[in-house]
Amino acid sequence: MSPTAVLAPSAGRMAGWRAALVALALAGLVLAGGLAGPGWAALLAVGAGAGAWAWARRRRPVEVLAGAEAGVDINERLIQSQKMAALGEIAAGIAHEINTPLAVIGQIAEWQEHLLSQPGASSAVDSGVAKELADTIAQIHAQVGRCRDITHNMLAFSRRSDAIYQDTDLARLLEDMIRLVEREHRANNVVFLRENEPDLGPVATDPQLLRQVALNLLNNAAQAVGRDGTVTVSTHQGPDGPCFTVRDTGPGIAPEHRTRIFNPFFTTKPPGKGTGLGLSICLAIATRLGGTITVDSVPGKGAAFTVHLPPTPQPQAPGPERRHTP
Amino acid sequence: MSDAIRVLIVDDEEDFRTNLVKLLGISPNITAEAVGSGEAALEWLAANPCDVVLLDVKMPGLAAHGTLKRIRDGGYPVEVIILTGHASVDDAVELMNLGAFDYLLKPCSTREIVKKVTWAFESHTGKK
Repeated sequence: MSPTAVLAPSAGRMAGWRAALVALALAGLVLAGGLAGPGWAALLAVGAGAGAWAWARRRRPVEVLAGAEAGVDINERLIQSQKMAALGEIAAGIAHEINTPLAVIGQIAEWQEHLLSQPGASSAVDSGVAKELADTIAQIHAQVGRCRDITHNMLAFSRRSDAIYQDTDLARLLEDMIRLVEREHRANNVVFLRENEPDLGPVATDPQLLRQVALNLLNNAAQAVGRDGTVTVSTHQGPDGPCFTVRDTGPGIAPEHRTRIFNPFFTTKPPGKGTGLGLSICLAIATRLGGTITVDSVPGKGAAFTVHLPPTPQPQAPGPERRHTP
Repeated sequence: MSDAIRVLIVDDEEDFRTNLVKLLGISPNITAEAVGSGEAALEWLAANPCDVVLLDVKMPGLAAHGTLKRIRDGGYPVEVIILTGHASVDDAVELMNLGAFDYLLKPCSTREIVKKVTWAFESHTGKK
């Protein structure tokens, strides 16, 4: 699925993540056994196949992955793509099913916290015990937060795998996503600026997939700024096609992290604060759309992520239209 | 502004909505009620004053899209916040374009919900 040899190593890691996702999905299905109907059983079988495929693929050398781009195994790719789509459905189903009980667990912990803060509680419970109760409730919150990051990322990752290309107003798409995050960060005085090239015209891409990328980059940028700064979102015509850039005034990326930020599970956030999947998902989607992501950062002076899109629709796989970069 | 913010929770998950009524009730300036479906929400709104609706996306019967459309068509002066575990960014955009005020993904803290409810209420009273 990776268009260039350069990206192939990270594609290998993505496959590893898929294998992990399958394991997680299957474990979830076993737990959700009470819910399993015939439909789920069929999905389970497909999911197991996809897992085996992902595992096998992970073990394939990088050269073979790159070489497969020039191959003619369209049928095999079609089957793989269907497996991934089924796997995506399983992952999304599990994420959905888990979010509600997770929400209820979080609510119960909040209620316990509230009860513990009542005037009567301190006299009813030994102060050492009260302290320990408060600590354990905090741990419940932290772990619910971790699970939430995982399920939300599973939802993002499990979107259907076939890109559907439509003429898309890039500035409008970005505006929609800015609206989702802007209000959240206004309180911290993080200002979102728009710089749109006026005559960019419609871009042929998959808006549903591209929104995921935009949202992830915007959230990362706003979190990097923290407070009192700007996030600038610009659209422009690059040398190879339309682009958009999300630039922040945060601390920037340390040189030693530069090569690792797109790796799945790499994160500089404290444990429990991020899954490290956001940027790897962004790159996987950009690659699927025939584009790529570049990063520009001077430590201490913020970071800029640019999503480069191809000038015309170029589905990655499978299908008759395939790109062959010399 | 001294009046309490009247919140209606619409969610088919009973534990979730009864817990949320209790937790929102801790805030002195919020009174919360809950119903289990979009249809029940419309009935409730027809009979009771309300400022902010917290609406789940996937429910049996009338889901969020239908409920939101009918709330808008009915001219109820409420702000709607989407609160769901079943959602995608595309749903979010579609529901925001249908007139939802904001969007929250479960699980999220009650503090977060209170914050958005307050924003929605302020924007709502600003519009009046």
